[in-house]
Amino acid sequence: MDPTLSPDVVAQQALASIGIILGAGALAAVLAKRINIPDIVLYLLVGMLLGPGLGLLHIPTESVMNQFILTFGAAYILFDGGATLRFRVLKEIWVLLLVLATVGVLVTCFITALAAESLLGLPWMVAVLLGATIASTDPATLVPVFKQVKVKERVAQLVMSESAMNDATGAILTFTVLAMIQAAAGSGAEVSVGHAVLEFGIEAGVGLFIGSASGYLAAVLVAKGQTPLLKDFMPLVTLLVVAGSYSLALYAGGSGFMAVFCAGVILMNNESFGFSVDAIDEEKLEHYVGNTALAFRILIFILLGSQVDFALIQQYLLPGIGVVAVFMFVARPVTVFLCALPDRNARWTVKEMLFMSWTRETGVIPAALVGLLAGQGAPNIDVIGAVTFIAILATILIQASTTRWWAGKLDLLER
Amino acid sequence: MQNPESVQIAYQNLTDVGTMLVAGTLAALAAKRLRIPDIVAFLLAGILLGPFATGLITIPTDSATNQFILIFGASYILFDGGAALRLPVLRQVWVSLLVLATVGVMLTALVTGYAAMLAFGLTLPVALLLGCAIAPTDPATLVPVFKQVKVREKVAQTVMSESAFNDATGAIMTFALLGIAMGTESFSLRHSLIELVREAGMGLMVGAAVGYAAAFLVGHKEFALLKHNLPIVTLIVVVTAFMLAVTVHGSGFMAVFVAGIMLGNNELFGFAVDAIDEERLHEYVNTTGLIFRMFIFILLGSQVDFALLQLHWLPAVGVVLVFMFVARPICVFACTALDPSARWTFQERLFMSWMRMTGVIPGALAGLLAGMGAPHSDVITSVTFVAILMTIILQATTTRWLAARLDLLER
Repeated sequence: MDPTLSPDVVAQQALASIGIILGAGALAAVLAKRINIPDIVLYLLVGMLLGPGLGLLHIPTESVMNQFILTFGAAYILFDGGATLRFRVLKEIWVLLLVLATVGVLVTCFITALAAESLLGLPWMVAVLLGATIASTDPATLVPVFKQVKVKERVAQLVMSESAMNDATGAILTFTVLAMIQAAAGSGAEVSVGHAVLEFGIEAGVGLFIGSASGYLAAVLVAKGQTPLLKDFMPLVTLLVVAGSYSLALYAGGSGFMAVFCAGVILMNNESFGFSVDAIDEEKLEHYVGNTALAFRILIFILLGSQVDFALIQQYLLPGIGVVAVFMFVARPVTVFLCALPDRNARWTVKEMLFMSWTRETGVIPAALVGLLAGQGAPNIDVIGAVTFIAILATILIQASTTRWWAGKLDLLER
Repeated sequence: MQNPESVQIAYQNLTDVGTMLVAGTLAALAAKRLRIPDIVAFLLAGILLGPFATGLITIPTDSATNQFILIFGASYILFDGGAALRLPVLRQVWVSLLVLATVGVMLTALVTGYAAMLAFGLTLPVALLLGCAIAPTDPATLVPVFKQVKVREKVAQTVMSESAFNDATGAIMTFALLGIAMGTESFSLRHSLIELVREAGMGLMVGAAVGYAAAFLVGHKEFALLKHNLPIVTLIVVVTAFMLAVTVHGSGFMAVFVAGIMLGNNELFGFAVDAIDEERLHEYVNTTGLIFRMFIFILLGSQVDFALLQLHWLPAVGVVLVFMFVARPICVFACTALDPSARWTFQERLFMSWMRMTGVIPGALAGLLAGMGAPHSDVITSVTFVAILMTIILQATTTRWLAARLDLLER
């Protein structure tokens, strides 16, 4: 946005963009329902059409509006995802969840880096940086996919929770690797692995704590019983919890996404703590949350699509596709099998593991990470950007649109 | 992690949003307990959060964030107000409405301007400029007040519609006078009238077209593509109607209001929306309206410049007293007298005389005027804020009481 423009013109431009995005998105949603694929696939396509295609949308990645929509939107969708999680399922899957969100990210990053080193000729550490950038899976994509494709509960909840948790791992890994590269080039302080692990522990711990505390507080305020102070403001409470837990967690040095996710889990499992909410209120709440999440989904994915830089992608098209193919067809299955096989308690079947190998959509967080990396002068940023966008397009367009089919093949659809 | 500046700003915005939501929710609870319209509580909460008290929120009037919230929020509230309007009721009062929204604004501006000229020793054009800036009534205030205080349909809908329509008149007169006050243009009545007709006409047309299209997409028997996405449709309608109208130089607020009327009265055009979808829509619109109300009035409160108010408070209070107790009654009684077919009772007129809340639009206008270097913009700004505070705090809190006294509450 041009800084010389007066604020009301800027505001009107923003408003016009939102109008275009929502209008196109509502039509895409109708179409997606008709052809029975998750709606985000179409939003991404519509975004590419409106942005690079027709030139109707110009909202740069680094603009305030984009950042605000991404942060708040992804947080809200994640909250919604947390709200669908059930404690009883979580008890069954938590071991794999923990392993996938930590070791899994490292494995994916490492294998992808190997491919990037040989196919793109990147220096080893830069290849690792690329791997770290795209290794985390995307909650903004996976939550709506599993809301629209009803897959066996424990698999769906595992993949959704994984995406909420591994985001912190991916971000910390990325910035640790970047610091190592810059230290090696003599332009930054020395970094230790111990420090990175500690930081991860703090981010995850603080996120978990603040999220759980906010969720519990919210449950106290809305539940029937002692003082249902905010019972009439249920939908508002969701916004409050999202903005509140995210900002607080960030402020305290924790992972914001982890916090909103935990807050969602706690608030919607309120009956486990002896609270109860009227069924009618709960139904109203679901509609409000559903509609708000829909609006954010439309905004996020159309924006994402409109920011795809085709000129950049073209420069690295073939090797980029090669790397992403390894990422999808080698790194993910290896990660899933490696992490799930040792988990003997949960008894993951081969079918479940095969399905999980096909759910590693890359989305808004890697795209945001690329923007942050560029801002900090990371080396070979154009290669990283190109491969990230190829990964986003390939995973979302191919995996999200075939999730239903694949789940059907493996007999994992919920009846 | 060093983030780029935009990430910092986005994060700051998120924190501000969180703060406003927390404070707003508490204020809404208090308002409910005290049985006063919630906007009063939001305004006071905003003053507490603003730089003159705790300094938790500092979003300046001229920031893009503020403008965005004002435009989008006021439009959404206005749309909501339009949707609650019933066309048969409107048919009964349309002459009064038309006169109030045009002649009424001029009368108010004249009387108030005269008072300002005496109180501050302003020149006539500057005094009139001040009068015009605060003359329009505020839909963002009046719509929620009448949602929370159930007043008899005819009166409530007249006052709400007036507030949607007189905004264009006020803005056009303000900018015509600004040219004169700054000595850059001479006044041309013909030019101003043409502009008014064009703004109103374009707003009306765009609003009607967008509203009809939306009603078609949600309520047609076969082609109701979006009938299960009603809440999103409301957002799209508001943005589209406003932006299209502004693009063709029409009144954006009028457009969203008219679009709301069309969508809210869709059954008159042969469309039908499922009862269940309609009920869900109400839930959604109510919550979204509530959120925007919180944002708008907390922001407005946080922007009250007490240092500036102190400079001129005594004459400013005098001018606003004339504005509320002389200008408005004259305006209401004169305008309704021109419409005998509406059969206004004395009680109804008296009640309407007490309904002239000044709100976000004058606040925004004052900001614009200051930005354009209008003469005596400090006087204009302080009188505007005194008017906002006095009308909202005095009138909105006593609306229920007065309506009951005059036996105008809906049973």
